Amino acid sequence: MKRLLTLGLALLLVLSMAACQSPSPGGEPTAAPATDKPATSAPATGDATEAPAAGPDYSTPLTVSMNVLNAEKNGIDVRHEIVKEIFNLSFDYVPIDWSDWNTKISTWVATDDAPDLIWWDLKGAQAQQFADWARQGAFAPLDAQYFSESRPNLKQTYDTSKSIDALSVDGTLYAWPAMRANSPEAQNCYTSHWSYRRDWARAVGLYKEGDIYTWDEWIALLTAIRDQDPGGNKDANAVLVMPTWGFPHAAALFIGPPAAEGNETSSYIKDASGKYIWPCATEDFKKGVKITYDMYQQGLIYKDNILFNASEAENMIKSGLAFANYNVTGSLNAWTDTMITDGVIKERSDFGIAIVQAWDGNWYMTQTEDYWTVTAMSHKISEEKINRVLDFWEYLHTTDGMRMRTWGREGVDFEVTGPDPVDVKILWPFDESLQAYINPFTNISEFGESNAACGSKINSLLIGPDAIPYMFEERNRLWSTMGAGEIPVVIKEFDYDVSFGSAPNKDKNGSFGSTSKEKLVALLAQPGIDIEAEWDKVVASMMPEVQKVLDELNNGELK
Amino acid sequence: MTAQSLAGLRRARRNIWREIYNYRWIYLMIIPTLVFIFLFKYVPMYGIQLAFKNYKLAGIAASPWNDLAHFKYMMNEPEFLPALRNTVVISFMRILVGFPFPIFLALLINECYTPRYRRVLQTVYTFPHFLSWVLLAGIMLNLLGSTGMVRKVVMIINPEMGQNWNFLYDGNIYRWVLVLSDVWKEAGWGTIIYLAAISGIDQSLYEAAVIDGCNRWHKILYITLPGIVSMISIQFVLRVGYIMEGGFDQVFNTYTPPVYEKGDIIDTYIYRISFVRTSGVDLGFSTAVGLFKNVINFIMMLSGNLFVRSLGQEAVL
Repeated sequence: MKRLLTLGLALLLVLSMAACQSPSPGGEPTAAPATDKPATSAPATGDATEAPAAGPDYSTPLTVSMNVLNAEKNGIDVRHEIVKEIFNLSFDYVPIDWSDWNTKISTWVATDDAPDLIWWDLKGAQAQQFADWARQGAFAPLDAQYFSESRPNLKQTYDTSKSIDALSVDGTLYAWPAMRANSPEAQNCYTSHWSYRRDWARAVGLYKEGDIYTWDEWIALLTAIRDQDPGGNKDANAVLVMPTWGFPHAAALFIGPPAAEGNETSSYIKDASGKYIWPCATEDFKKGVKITYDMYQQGLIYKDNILFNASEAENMIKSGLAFANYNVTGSLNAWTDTMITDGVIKERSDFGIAIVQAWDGNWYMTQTEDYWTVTAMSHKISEEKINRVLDFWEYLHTTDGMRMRTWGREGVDFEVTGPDPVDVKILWPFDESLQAYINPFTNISEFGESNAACGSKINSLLIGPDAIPYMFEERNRLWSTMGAGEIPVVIKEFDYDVSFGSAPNKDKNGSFGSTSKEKLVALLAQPGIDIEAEWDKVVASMMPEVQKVLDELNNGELK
Repeated sequence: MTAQSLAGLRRARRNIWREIYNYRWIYLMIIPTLVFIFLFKYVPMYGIQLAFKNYKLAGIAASPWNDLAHFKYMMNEPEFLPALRNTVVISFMRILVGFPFPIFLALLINECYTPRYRRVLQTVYTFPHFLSWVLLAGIMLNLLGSTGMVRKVVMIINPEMGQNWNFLYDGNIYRWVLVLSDVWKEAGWGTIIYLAAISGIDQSLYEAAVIDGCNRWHKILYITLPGIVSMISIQFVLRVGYIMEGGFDQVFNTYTPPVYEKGDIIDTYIYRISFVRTSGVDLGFSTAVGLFKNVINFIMMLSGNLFVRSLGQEAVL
């Protein structure tokens, strides 16, 4: 018995170690990084309406691993069956979430354990890490030959996007940008705005038709919400809440004249003489800090926003505990659905977008890269997989591809009524109470991670004749306000050179964005301090290191 | 060494091998554990050399040596020494409060004479150990936040204090929040080993003590405590060996920038500079800090062992 037990335990250990060994992604053998083999297929021509014609050899089934948000919602509906039918391609989704995305990518790449497709929220601040890894051979090179006439939509992006240069290291592209689906008026900006409870604004008598508020009107409205508590939340009444990435900058710094500073943007700007300066050291920024501090101390910013580390801000809005959240246009339909269902609001328009002019009368925008994420390919991925994936991405840009991604299978989920992508009749069940079709797909943005420049075409699809228009109406209102010149708009421009440029101290310290943010948050929590004097001390303490970076920028040492 | 003692030594060794052979099937059962320890504790030590190298994706062996650059950088980093200080301070606070508490609790539980009630108590006290810090952090934030229950109670008792509530933003208070919540979570679990030790005490000693006129307090003081003192010593030495572990899970899930000054420990500092700031993950630097921590832990464990031995108690090593 003892012998059996001993042997059993030893066997168990060996088996568990064998089980811990990771298989090669997708089960296929891996190959050397792509080098000189040209793309093998031509799935679409121009804005083709057909799926790839006969020619490419898709006889070998391929499975490609890729990290995605909401992995549990991906790959479970008919759209993946369609992709399998057309491309003989399946996806093995590796879960990430917003809070661990960068951590996981860093760990995967550093330990050479990355999925085939490494989907990355790559910002300029991480550009040196990206370049360093690319030089060390972590990613498959994406040579120009992949973006020939046989993939016209990808080629267009390859030829026109500013980010192609930024994502190239020593002249070779190593990641593919998923272009922003914004209208031209948006100019790749975060359109600064608050999503707010119109019904509460009406209840305190300070709602403004058109939703454009001057700074004084906005502060008066926030103060009234705090004092009158229209939601009846008592102690739990929260006025402004922000997602963690926007806290506390969104309250005044993002939407005011101070140069953008934080995790999202380039952090060195040029002064009037053309010299680079550090935004945190400017008087404008100090004023923004003062306003933010005062708003926090006065209870206009939710006190425990400091403690948020996930979706608490969203939950507070959805549960009717908070008045406004920063910049959530993309979720307006989903949020208002929940809020109506839960009885928090009566109709969608009770929760909409407010445009807030800063204290100098301008509406400020923070410009960013022309993409919103990138996808790099692991150096272990095979040439066959690269081509299959690029064919699939190209297909997503065709009319057929866009319709498939948005509505599903032709004849079952929609019928084509004309040549334009939005010329369809949706066959989904219709909900009379919501006045909207019931989307049968759990994941509305399937393939969004690899959509690779579907751009405004997808937008126009989603606002097609029978989809829920609310979110797009609100977003278009923002963009049209930008374009109309109704109020003065100032864009805080994105500087590709500084964001993606390299110099020793800049590479080491980056933007100092997270450090300065930490220090600002630490000051917020201290009541009764002279915030301007304290901020001066913060700047003075950080300046010796910052100055080294500024010297590099101003002495032309940036490569 | 005399010839006699050498012969004795040889005889003892032969006896050991003979004993192992006699009980070979029992000893065979230790193989999985040895394999486990070798594979997962000793083989990874190959990676320690990364502390002295600039890690490259080509692998550990191919990474170039860097002339102690990581250690120099560590010592020059303005936030490293405060994080080191915080780690040690918080750890000492945990030892000060958290180490004796399970002993105290075990003594109390042992004094409950109703077995069923004792089992219920043990279960209730042990249960929090199985909750993750992610979950407990949420509970703590809800209890101690600005709209939490504790603040509301304080508002009733002392409105001014409730108005200026900053329980989770004040570094000095935050350290105690860490320590006390850790005690709450782990004290019950910690009692298990002491209760086991108490159950091993000869019951006739208690009977004799009763005959001699001892009361309950005397029995605790002169029988129970001396009976578990060797276990306390072992636990103390092992605990001191973790002096550089500040409790990453707990701190990471509860700390915020306002308490970095007093609450940032080495592990969270490493996480932040590796994953939050822009320089990116640096396995070499992380290894260097890990090595530094473990060397200190090892020295502290040896010191604790010496300390216990100097008190005349049975030492671990």
